[in-house]
Amino acid sequence: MKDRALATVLHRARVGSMVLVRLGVPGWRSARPGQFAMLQAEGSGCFLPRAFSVHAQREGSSDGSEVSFLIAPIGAATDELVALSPGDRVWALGPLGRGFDILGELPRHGAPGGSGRLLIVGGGVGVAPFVLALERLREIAAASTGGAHSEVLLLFGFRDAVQADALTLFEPAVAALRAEGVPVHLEGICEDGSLGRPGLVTKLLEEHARSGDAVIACGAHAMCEAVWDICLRTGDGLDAWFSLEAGMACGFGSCLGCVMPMADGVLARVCREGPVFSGREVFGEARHPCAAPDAGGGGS
Amino acid sequence: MNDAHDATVGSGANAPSRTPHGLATRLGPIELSHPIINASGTLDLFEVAATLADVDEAAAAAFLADPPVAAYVPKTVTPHPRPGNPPPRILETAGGMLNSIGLPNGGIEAFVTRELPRLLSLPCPVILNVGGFARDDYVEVAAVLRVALEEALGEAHEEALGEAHEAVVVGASWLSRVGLELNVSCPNVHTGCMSIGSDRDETAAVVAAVREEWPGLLLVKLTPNVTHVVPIARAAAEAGADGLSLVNTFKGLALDRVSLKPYLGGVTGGLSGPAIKPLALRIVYEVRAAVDIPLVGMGGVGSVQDVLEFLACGASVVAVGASGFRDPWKPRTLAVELEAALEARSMALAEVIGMAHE
Repeated sequence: MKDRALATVLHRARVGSMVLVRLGVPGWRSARPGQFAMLQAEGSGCFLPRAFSVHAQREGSSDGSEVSFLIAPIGAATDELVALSPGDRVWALGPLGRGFDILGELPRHGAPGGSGRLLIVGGGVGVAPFVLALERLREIAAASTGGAHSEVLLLFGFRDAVQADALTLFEPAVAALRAEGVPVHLEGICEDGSLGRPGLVTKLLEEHARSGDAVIACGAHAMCEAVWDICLRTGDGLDAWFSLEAGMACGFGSCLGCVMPMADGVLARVCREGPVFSGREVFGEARHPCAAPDAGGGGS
Repeated sequence: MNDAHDATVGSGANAPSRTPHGLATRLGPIELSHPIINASGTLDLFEVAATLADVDEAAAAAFLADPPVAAYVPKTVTPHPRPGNPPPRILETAGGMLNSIGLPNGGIEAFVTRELPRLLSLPCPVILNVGGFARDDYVEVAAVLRVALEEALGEAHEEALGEAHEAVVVGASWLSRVGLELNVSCPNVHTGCMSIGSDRDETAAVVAAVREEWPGLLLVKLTPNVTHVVPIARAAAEAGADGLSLVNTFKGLALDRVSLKPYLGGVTGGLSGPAIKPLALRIVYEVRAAVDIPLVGMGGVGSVQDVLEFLACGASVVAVGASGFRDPWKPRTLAVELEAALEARSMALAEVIGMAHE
């Protein structure tokens, strides 16, 4: 975070049931994959901003950077944001939080005990942070002296074909990573079967996960729990990191509203200690038979 | 809501960083460069600084060297550590937000070792906020804080009262630098606190007992969740309070939209934000008419118009609460705007205070 900036909408594009909003943000400091920003339409009828993962960014001049957010309209605040037109303004505070900072450290090709494979699991609007993650992986591959990931698999789950339009957002970043010599597999599945067989993203993960893989994931809490469960079943070497979501008032550690219980019982702030946590931190080593906490009613 | 206002003012690096002139005021022995502070639990200066430091160490240092508040009120400290309430803890509601945070804190021992030193390193006065579950809790915490402050800054010297900035020199009186606010009004804990502040005699007893231990500024933050605030306000003043903070949040309930069960982990919560402004204004107005000690007004403050209205109702200091969540620089912005607003009215700060009663 640098300061709260009045950003300008540069571009707005409908992507299935979601909207990609590109903002020109003055003073923006480069976000790491998984970091987020608090956004609120100027003149909003809502009281608080909402948290959104940074989808993509392009470093800019002194006038600001171009920063994109993938927004699903699920309530009053997101309805306002997706209805904006170029030239409209948005209060933006970010980047905030701890992202997928482990991307540069994950076991890569030839690492002991590691497969060198990275599985990226997203559900619905939870795919948002992974364009930035692919860009980071491309940087790692470009800078690497033979230690890039042996393969990157993007496994995305959607409700229906309309929501699955979001797959198109990943094609340029996937091509760029392939161009660095990293094999990339992109696969989507829909609950209603409109991409072939019906199912949840966890079905894809079960098919592909192998011992020694690393997983990064973002989606509903129930999805994250199920992903971790698969990790525990698949073998000791499989590790995972999750970007979690919680209603928050500030995004910078003041309100203590976004706490979530970790496996050891301690409450961690999603905004500061997260939003990215390791599976061990959040869920612990034990299998998790319990249902996810109710995710409804919160942020909109 | 008050967002229309945001369009015309910058924030953060864009916000005017100068200290407004002509707004100097005081709260008992504590001199304030302007009348805008924060409400306890709504702004953590050190967390803002840590977040700034993620990208810019210099910006973090600059933030702490010139905080956006005239005095800083940290989160409530209680005698023993508390984890706070189970999540979910907050929900936006029409015109504001409902919270059930539940006073998470490390307890007074950790507060004295870890929090107090960095609080005393701030260039602005601090008003320490104390919560408890029984009368003795408040007395115990006040006594521990007094000892710690005397150790850190030297014994209190009455003669230093009123000498601006004198206390910043180590060894001088801390009375002009550190105050105490008794939180007898948190709606999110099940015993003590609000149940003390809802009772006139209990409030008076707590205030009188703390008064024995605490020589400095003593504020009492009252709950609006009673039929009549005035008798409690009067009792607190008669028991030795130097000022009253009005008001804490309004107890409320929100349901999950799907399950139709209480949404918050603590079931009920405290309502804040623009929705409560008229309710808070009414209480400040009534208490001002009945009690003659300084008032810190708060409840839905988000614009300079809100500040003017709380001042006019009789507050001499105004606190920004939930609005600070979306903009931690808000108090400074409002102070700068207040200066302009007073100039536009050709009025001094003191002339506005209480003018709704004339």
